[in-house]
Amino acid sequence: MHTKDLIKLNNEKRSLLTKENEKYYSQMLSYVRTHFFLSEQHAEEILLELLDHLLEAQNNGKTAKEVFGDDLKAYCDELIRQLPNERRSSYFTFTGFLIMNLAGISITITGLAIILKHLFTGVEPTFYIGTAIVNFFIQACFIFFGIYVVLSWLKRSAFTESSNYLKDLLFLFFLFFVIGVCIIFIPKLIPSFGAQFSMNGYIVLLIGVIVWFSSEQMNKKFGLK
Amino acid sequence: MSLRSQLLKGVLEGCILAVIEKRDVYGYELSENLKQFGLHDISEGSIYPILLRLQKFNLIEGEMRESPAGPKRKYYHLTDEGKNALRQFRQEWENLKKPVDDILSGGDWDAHERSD
Repeated sequence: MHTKDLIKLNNEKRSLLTKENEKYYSQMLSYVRTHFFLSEQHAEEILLELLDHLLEAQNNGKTAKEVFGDDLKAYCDELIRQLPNERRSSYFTFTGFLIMNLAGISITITGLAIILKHLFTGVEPTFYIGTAIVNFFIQACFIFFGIYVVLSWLKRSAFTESSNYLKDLLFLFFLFFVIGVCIIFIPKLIPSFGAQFSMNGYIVLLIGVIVWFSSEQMNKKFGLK
Repeated sequence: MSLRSQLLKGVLEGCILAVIEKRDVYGYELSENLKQFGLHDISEGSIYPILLRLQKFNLIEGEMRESPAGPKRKYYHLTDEGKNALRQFRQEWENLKKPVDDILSGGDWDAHERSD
């Protein structure tokens, strides 16, 4: 079965759990899924197997705690230790997709910005190829860093019983704020270098849309997301 | 890890191989089988890390099949390597059983000292 079908089946079956069992199981689910380097296929297979087991146990009057023991984190760590990692090739394809997707969005936004600037001021901004490439990589790094922080934060908070929504919200707001500021202002510190060029905003927009569209096609073909 | 779970780990592996040798089972059935033989205290979930491990070393294989109850289940069967591993485990267990029993029960020290 394909990973996507496994996830879909998991979502359907999870609704059959009692409230208490669902809570317990969902903690395992999110903890295992935040381990980015695991083979997704294998992880989803075992997660579904555990869910099937839990459903059958539930029908026989057992609770999730009885089935998986008291120390859920230790149990999940043991599972994770036995699961194979994602193949390196699919890891590279996924990173490639992310970078293209980001580039597409970034170029599209730049195109829109040039068009707006041209409309209001009548000037077409000039670019430096070296600066543009460096800036893109700086932005990509910050976005990857953000994804990494969110994943490890989810990993750590998977088993905390009382989640404080206000605190969570503040943390995420703070994180996005800091990353947003860095993405906008750090590129301004990079000196201009490389060939200079100015470009029509509509062409930039078109390039951005094409890159973004191809990354989505790539996603469809490889079933990445 | 507790002393108990360390002790169980290796033994449970052998037991699981032996159950699967008898007939193809899926996870829930397997845990019920172990209980029928009196292994009540282990949490049912603890078989899954072991099943993953046995698959990793290619001792068992899983296959999706319709179960009598309806939904598809992953049924496990032994590979040839698994059959070998089980044979080895049985032999190791035979070799260990008596000496460990004797030592733990505080058996006849004199007899063993004399034979050295």
